[in-house]
Amino acid sequence: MSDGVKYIFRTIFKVPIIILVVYAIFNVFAFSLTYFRLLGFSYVVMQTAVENNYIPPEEMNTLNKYLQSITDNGVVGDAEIVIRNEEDASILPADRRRQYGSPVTVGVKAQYKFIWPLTPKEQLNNTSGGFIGYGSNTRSFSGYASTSTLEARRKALEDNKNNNINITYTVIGLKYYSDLN
Amino acid sequence: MSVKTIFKVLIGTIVIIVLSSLTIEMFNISTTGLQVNQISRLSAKQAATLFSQETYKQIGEDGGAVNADNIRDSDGALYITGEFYDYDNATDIYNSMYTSNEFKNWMKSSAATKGNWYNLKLIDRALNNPRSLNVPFGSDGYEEAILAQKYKESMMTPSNLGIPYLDKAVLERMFQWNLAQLMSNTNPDNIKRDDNGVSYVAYKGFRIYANLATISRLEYKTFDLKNPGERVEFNRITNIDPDNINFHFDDRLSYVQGLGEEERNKVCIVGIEYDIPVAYEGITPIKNIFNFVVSNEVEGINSGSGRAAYNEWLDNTQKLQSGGLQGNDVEGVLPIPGKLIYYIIK
Repeated sequence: MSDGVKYIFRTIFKVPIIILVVYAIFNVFAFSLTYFRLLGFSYVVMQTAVENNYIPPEEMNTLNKYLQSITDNGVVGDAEIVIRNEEDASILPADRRRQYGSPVTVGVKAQYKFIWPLTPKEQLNNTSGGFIGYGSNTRSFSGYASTSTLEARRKALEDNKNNNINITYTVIGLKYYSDLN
Repeated sequence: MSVKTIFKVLIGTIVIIVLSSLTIEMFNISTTGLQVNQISRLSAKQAATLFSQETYKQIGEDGGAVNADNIRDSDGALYITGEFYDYDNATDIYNSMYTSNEFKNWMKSSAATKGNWYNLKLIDRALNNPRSLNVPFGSDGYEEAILAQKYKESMMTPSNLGIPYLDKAVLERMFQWNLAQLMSNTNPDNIKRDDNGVSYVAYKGFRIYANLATISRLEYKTFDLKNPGERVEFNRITNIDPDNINFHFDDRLSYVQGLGEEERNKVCIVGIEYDIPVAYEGITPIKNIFNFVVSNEVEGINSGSGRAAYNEWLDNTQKLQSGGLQGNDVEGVLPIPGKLIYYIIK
């Protein structure tokens, strides 16, 4: 094989690899930054719960505003403040007041969306084996999913969030409320 | 190794150092900034609690303390004094705080006049108008004068009556002390001096000028819990439902006591606002790299004659402002400035 052809083949392999490596580095950076920001934020959420035994509505609004400000980008989705203990139903949700010493589970969870080249924005499994498309143009191409089908699939994915960042704490409230038993 | 390779390695190393430094600084600011805010709130809150505990009264075999340890910087110089009060004994401390103009002015403020607390007025009378206690035995007001005198002798304070009056100067010293100890990890080596000779606490790349921290405002608000509108506002600020406080408002009791009304239905709350000068110097060599580059400009470059390096990394000091009754509505230097209230429910 001549050097010219070798060079072409080398370039063909090298360029996608370089692109993938660059994306990988970007993902490592973006994931780390997101994780550390959410980690810092989770401490604030925890401290708010310890100080009040729960997260009062005003504080919740402020915390949500800040959470939105740090997750309002293309790589983070479904970020929310955790107020329920999924494993122990005996612990009240953190939006309800309780007395000194009661446990409260709080934290933050979010989905980091890894960014790769040529990744479609919306990846919905096509269970029928046909094409996936937008709109209700089902007359011309029977393989397209209708709007309602797409909506149903989106809803199904929303209900099964894959939050790959989940930082929660179960702590006790350290405030005595004279109006509670 | 060729010249080309040497340059490649050189430039590559610089780029990697600068980029990684900036990355680390981003991580650090996003996590430590929140910690600084939370620690400062904790310092102010605990200062209010310490003030209300009146440790100066409890000196004896069982404990109690007037002063804390002095905080020294890395050179051994005094950074923040542990002497919270202006005097060393309980009587002088008590008299100085409650005969001060600050207290007298507070007694005239809307919070105190709205509260109209009978026993508080007796304390004020005994301390700030002692001649009025000379009431002949058997005449009207004699018993009241005796009670006021007893309050003074037993060093009764607003805190003892459930009223969160805070002496600003004392509170500020306690706040500075708490802040410096928490931020420095009680290690004098973490208390350094900047180029201007001003000492600061080094905390994860931040400069916290704890000795310049101030309690900027004490906002007192008194709520009449018999007033439906004020009950809602009280609930919003304290998260306490007045319906369940169970004071057992009994006007008959007030009548017997001659107070006119049940005093506990007036609840005073204080919002504590504070300022802390802070600066960011970073935890990586990026600052040194920056200073090195801008300090080595060639004289005469860019058509400038006799030009000296004038750029430098500016450690601009910003005021971290937080706390108060409505702290949550304000965006601050660091994220999530919280509200900070203090109250005592009787």
